[in-house]
Amino acid sequence: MLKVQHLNFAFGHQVILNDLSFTLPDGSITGLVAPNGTGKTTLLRCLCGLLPSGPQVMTLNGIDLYQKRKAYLGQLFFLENSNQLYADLTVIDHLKCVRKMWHSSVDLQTTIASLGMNGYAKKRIRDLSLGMKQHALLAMYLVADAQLMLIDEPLNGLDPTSIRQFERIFAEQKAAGKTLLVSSHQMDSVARVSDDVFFLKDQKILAEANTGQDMMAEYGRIFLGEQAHA
Amino acid sequence: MLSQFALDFKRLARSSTTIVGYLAFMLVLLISFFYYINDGDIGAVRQFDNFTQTMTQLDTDITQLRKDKTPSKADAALLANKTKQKAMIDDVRLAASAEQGTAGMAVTNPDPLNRTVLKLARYQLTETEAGRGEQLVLFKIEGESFDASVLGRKETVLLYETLLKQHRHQQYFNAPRLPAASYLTAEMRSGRTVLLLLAVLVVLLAEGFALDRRQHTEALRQNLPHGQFSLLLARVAAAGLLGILTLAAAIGSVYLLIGWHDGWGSWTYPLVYAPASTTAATVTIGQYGLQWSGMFLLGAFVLAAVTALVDLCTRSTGATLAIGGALILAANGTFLTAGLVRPLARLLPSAYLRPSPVLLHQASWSLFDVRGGMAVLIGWSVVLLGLCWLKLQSPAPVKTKA
Repeated sequence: MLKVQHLNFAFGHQVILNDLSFTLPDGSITGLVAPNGTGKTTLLRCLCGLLPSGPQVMTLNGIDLYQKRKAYLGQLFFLENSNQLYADLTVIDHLKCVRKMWHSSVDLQTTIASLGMNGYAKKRIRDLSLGMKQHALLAMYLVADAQLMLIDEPLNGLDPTSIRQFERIFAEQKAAGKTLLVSSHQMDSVARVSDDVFFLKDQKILAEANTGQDMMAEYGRIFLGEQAHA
Repeated sequence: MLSQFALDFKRLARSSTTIVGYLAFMLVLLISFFYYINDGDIGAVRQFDNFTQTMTQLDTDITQLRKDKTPSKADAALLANKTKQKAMIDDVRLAASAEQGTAGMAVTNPDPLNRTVLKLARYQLTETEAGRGEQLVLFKIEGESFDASVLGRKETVLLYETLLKQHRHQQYFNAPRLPAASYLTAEMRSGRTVLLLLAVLVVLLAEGFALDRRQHTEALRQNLPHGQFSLLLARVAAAGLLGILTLAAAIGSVYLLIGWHDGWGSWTYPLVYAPASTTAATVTIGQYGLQWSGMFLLGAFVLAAVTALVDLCTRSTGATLAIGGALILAANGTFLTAGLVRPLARLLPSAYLRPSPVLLHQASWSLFDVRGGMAVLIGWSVVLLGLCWLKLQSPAPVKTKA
């Protein structure tokens, strides 16, 4: 369980996150939604310590990021996007590294097969399409087998088949007790997989439980000021 | 840490920078080869000229002394001395002429020339030890520094004793064409070559640390559930080891190229040096090469630690290159013997970055012995990595709302 209390962050005088407090329970998927440049990625970076937030703000299963950084990071996986993969290394090089670094026992071949990556697991990242790289990135999340998965716009560049495949995997991870915080602009997908949705607006989080409402309409209401249709 | 080392090593090894570094190392090592590619092996000819200069000087001295019809006892003794030297150098020239005359034949016997030079060298040693060194006209050895002291004479005697014992032709390390083993030894002894190799190494190391910034791939490293210092150590070790292996590959390639073109040479050829202020000793160029590699390796890790620290503090490749370059320039004798630096030179890592003056005891600046030099390099690596550790311990500035 991730517990965040009074998280603030600013670039200089420009406040990005203002006094955020929330909890992400185990076995849940939370959607993170906001227009571009609002602070979704900044929030994800703060949650894993890439941007400073100060002590006693975040605990993951009771472990404070600033007091036990290694133990905290060992319970989460976050890689912003597939452009941050090492271009000269293969998919399997990345998976082996993650497996060792996170002391995971997840079987690589099973993961590769489950994501349909057998054809390009031994190819270098530089030779892959965006969709393939997104698959490789998701495979790293699965191999790390971390409790908390912070996933930033995972559906970019995916065809509808792959989107469904990713959604199925997210659901499987949730069923296995993992905690997923998934930022996305694909409102229909957010509606399909999320238990709760965080709308990030005016440096604050507006949390809504997913009760089957029209998420695109919610987005329009919150960010575009549109009236909900009866 | 091992898995991060393996990943870093693999990544850096596959980057195009490593190929460029390999080619740059090759180019540096082959400058002399290409520069003299159309020249013949004229080392022996140059040495013959040195013997001739000595003989001419002795002729002049003798002619001058003979003009005095009523020489003093001292002048008479001096004339006898010069005449004796002249007789010996004549024998040397005769033997050298004979050897050159048979050059190109299947087998030439080096012993007659070595024997006559050894006789002259022993005489010069005896005279120098007796305090009559100023009466000598010493001959210069191509490719070796000139040293008129007793120690220098001892080194010359030992060189020719060893050559005679091993029935070897003398090799001149500044000769245009050398067999592969000797060519590489000459390059390792060259201050210019070593400084250029170190410069290429610094570029490789700096690029190793800048790669993540350039390719925007820092995030994965920063999120790893491991200590930042152990990750840094893995990167330092990977970049340093890869740099050394790249250089080793370049040296191997140069060896094959020169060997194919000019012959392989022998790794048991002797080098003479002075391990203490009164004694001379020999080391084979194979042993010298191994010691050189060890010393260079330690120097490389100091440079790796420096680049790590500078990169950590500045996150600027330019600053890393500038400081690494300054450290290399500080390995120059002119800097190390400058007034303020001189007393401290033996404690500076720069004093040991060029292995040859340390190993062959030919430095003009103050030094510890080889083990002391290794300790200095290791000590500096530890200190620099310690500073990296301290830097990583300092908390990042917390940006909260204004």
